[in-house]
Amino acid sequence: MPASEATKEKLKQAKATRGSVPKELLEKMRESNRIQKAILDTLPKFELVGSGGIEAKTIPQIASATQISEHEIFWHVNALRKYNKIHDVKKSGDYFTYAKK
Amino acid sequence: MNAPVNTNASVNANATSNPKADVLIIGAGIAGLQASLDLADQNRQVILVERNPSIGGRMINLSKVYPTLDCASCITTPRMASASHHPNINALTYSEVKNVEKHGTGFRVTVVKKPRYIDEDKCIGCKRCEEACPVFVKDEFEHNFGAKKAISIPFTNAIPQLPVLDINNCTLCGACANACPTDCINYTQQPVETVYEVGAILVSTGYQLTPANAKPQYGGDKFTNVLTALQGERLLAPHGPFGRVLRPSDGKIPDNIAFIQCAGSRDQSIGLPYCSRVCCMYAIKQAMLLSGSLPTADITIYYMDIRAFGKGYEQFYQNAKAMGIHFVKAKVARIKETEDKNLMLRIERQEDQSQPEEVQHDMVVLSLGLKPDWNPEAINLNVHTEYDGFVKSPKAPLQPNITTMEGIFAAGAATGPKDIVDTIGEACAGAMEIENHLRRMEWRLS
Amino acid sequence: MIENNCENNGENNGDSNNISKNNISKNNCDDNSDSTNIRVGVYVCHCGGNISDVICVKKVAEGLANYPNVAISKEYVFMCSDAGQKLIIEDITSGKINRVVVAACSPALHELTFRKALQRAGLNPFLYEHVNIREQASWVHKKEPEAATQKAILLTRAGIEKIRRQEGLENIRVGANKHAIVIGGGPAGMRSAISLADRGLQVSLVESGNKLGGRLLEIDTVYPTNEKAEDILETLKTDIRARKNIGVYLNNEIANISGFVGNFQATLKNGETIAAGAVVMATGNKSYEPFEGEFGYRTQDNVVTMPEFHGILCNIRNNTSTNKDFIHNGKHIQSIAFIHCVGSRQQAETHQPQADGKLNEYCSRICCSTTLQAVNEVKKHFPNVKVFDVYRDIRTYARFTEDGLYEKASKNGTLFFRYTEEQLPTVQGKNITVKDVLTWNEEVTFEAELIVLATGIVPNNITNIVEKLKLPIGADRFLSEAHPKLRPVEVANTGVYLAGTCQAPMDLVESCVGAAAASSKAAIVLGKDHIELDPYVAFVKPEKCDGCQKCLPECSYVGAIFMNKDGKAEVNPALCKGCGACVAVCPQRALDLKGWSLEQIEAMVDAIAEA
Repeated sequence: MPASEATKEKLKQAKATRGSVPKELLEKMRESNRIQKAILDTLPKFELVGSGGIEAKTIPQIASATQISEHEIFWHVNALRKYNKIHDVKKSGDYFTYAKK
Repeated sequence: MNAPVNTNASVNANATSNPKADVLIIGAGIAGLQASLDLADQNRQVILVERNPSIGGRMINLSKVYPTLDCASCITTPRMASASHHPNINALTYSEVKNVEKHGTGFRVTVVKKPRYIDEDKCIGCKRCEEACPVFVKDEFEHNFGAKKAISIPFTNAIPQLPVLDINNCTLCGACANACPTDCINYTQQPVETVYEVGAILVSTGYQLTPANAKPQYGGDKFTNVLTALQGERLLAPHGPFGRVLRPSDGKIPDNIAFIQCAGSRDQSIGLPYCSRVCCMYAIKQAMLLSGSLPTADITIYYMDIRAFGKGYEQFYQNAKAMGIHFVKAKVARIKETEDKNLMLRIERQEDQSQPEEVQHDMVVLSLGLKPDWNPEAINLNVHTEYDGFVKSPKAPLQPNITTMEGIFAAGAATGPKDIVDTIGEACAGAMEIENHLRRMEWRLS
Repeated sequence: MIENNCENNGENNGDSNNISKNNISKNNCDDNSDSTNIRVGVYVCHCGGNISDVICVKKVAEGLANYPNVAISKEYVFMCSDAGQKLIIEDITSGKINRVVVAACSPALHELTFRKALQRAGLNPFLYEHVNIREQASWVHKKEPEAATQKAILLTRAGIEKIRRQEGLENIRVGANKHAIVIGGGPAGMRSAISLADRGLQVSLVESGNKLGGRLLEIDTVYPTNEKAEDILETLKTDIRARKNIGVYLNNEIANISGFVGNFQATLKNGETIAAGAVVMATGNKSYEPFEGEFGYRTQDNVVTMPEFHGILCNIRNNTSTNKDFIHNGKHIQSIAFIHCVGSRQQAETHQPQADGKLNEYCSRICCSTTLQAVNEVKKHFPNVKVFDVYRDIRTYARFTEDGLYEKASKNGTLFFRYTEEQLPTVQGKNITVKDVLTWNEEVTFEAELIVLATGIVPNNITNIVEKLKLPIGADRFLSEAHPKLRPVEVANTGVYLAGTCQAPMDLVESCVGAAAASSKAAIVLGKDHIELDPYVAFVKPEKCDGCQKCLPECSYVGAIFMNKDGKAEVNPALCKGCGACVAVCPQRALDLKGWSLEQIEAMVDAIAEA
């Protein structure tokens, strides 16, 4: 539900006090969004895994497909897992595989 | 004193007299919680001040405890729940002590309640704000292994179940306010100062780990697969950041893990000469849990001495040996990272060959030491510390809870590294000292 | 109806919507013996993986959802957490349930937690049943998850059958005698007595020796500060003397003791009687006595225990304060060796058992520090004496001992040898042979004119009191605490507290802390106007009793059951421990147990057997 007028007013005040959003924060957010979008784009949907040769992906596979470092991919995959955007599927050798909701 | 005073803080600031209590306890970890319960059960009014948004301290952050292997949450949450429900205990979370001064037979303590940016009376802990927030940040409860949002409830069992908005990471997009069903987001909330009058104070501010980069040769802050001990705990915890034991660089299941003991203790070269007392046992515990979780993994503990001195501890150590965990008496000189993020340890075994050797592992846990998490001298309090940084106990051995300032007592890791058993003992002892002090001073609440 | 909380990375989703933080209003949703109106809430806990790693908790919750009288069946990650307890409270206050079953860990851990939750919700706390599916299912059947899940369902069914037949109970209230008996006049006993006295209680301090002080009397200086033990003792004695509410009984012992929390009666050796509300055990320890031939003890005259060495050192220091020579038994000692872990850390492969057939597997905690203190004393006053330290691990864990004792010893010329439990050092005359880890595991032999065994500690013999009060003893012979982590100074028997080394090896600081902690627990109990005891006691249905008296000899608790003036059996609820032995033998079923009735047990057995 939309926020009340009073709350909207407070938001305006807070923005006024702080000035514009710090550049570093915006940069971090953009980068985070970019990485997460890249991950979600490359992952198959959970319901489709197993049919027609569609496989869930490991961290190295996601990293390779998105050209982003494994470490960053791993952090973001877990972030998306926590907020229910990604599911674990099963083990593949020494790695787990992931698919999107 | 039934409802948390948090929401009445602003009212109290306007009151002509300061709110009073018998005891103010700084730090709501297991020491503070135990002491508060012992005092509250003797009908004392207790204020429990906690800097973090939730009570529970370090113990709620752990996986399991030694030597019983009880789940840490399972044994901490009941104390947390008891303290938060006790009619004689007022828990002030996300609050810090700014100043302490003597006043009559007691003290005046200025406590600053930091803004969560929510109206606590209206919040129902539904987490819709957290789901709506677009900003992902590193979760310090998971020691940066996991993510949370700019507005988040700190962890599953947090008490109170209220979120905190990290205003420094907030883009002020308003998504949380739009998602909130009770309109409780308050973007302009200010810190509130309250002065409490109390008869006695307990310092139970606990510990932090020694820094991972204290010994640069170990690459603690550089190498992705070199973990701190608390990161190790989170890997093993039931609701850890990865859901299971995986190594942070690439999500691979590790199968050759090393623990390096005394990575932040017993080391003059990094200014930490003392023994941190708990690291041998927590490493053995983590090794046993890893062994249970990864039955085919090789687990090695590189140690100087194994200090399994407590009740049941030696037997725990022998069990670990019987489980196949390798105990190698060796000093680790340095760690290098290989191309695939494995770790190359240069060790000198003190058994057998005693030649320097290079051994490879795919994940390393540094058994870091403990240092104090609060310095009373930083707020100009006359509670002195010793050269090891921990609170001085001038009346040890007979009364170690007494500090250099009359009426102020200390318990738990604040007086030196110690484990949960010894902390609980010291907390109960501290409660007894405080009760008797209040009687001696003929302290009256009204 | 099932309300499932699916495990979802441990997030507390879904049900948080309706959680209110306000204190729960008292709802008169109390016990109802009308069986059609019984509504049971079943909660199955994951226990952070301890249960859910083996048992499919979802299946358990589903398997019980349609059981008779079950209104709600849920599963949750941590039932004992605040959120978990709130689930129960809400279901009670909204009228959905009036009985609660939680299938989780051991009741020893959280039965009380959940009973308090019921109280907060306004429900009688004894309308609660705690089913253990952790120790009794998940932990013992790790390799058979399906069978474990089935077992969990059966156990919980039994729990439901029990609670369906449970009426509300009230705690038994007894008066509290504001007097504590402290047994043992060492530092722990003294500190406990002092804190209890300051708390306003009357204290009786009973000591078997002719002086107060315990093992502090045998020591010269205390580590790590090197304070004089006699100064510390003097402070303690002054504090005792200054408190008129401490009665000291020297040369005396407990001859008989009985009772329960708030109401203990003790008879001393000299016939005096004391009535007290709490008992603090501070009976301390004694040094391990090596058996004849152990490292040459008693078979050679150059082998002594640590306490004996303290005595020797003290003698020499008093007599030869200016002389730098270590003279003992007329001989000029040039070399002393200390051997660690004598009587401790024993293992079946290398050590022989003690007289009672047990090994001392435990670490005695204080000997490494004590030994290094002795090492440093020798080096300081007799620098020409060669000192050898033969250890397994150096456990200087306490504050100031690593740098204060160990580092000092490593810099003053002491030679260290390390052995492992695979091969103990051997002693032949002056020769000590060690398979030395620090020298590439080679066997090294060196000479020492005097050999000191760093002997550990064992608890003092208190069989009399243990039997009379039925105190729990651990495998290590020390008194066993209620919970090794959370309740270090209490025992399962309420009203008895542990101070100092009767519980485990510990140093002086730790003993004093334990003593004050024990006093705190005693003070909480005695500080109240009355004490509440568990209502699980036996009771007689007089109309069924035919006075056969078969119950009397079954009872282990003096006075708990007796024949009254009507010729019927009668139970004293304050003394009854609810063991049920009398119930089992009564041929008329005239005796029953509150909270564990014959009917309940029969129903539980039927529930399990019928599967």
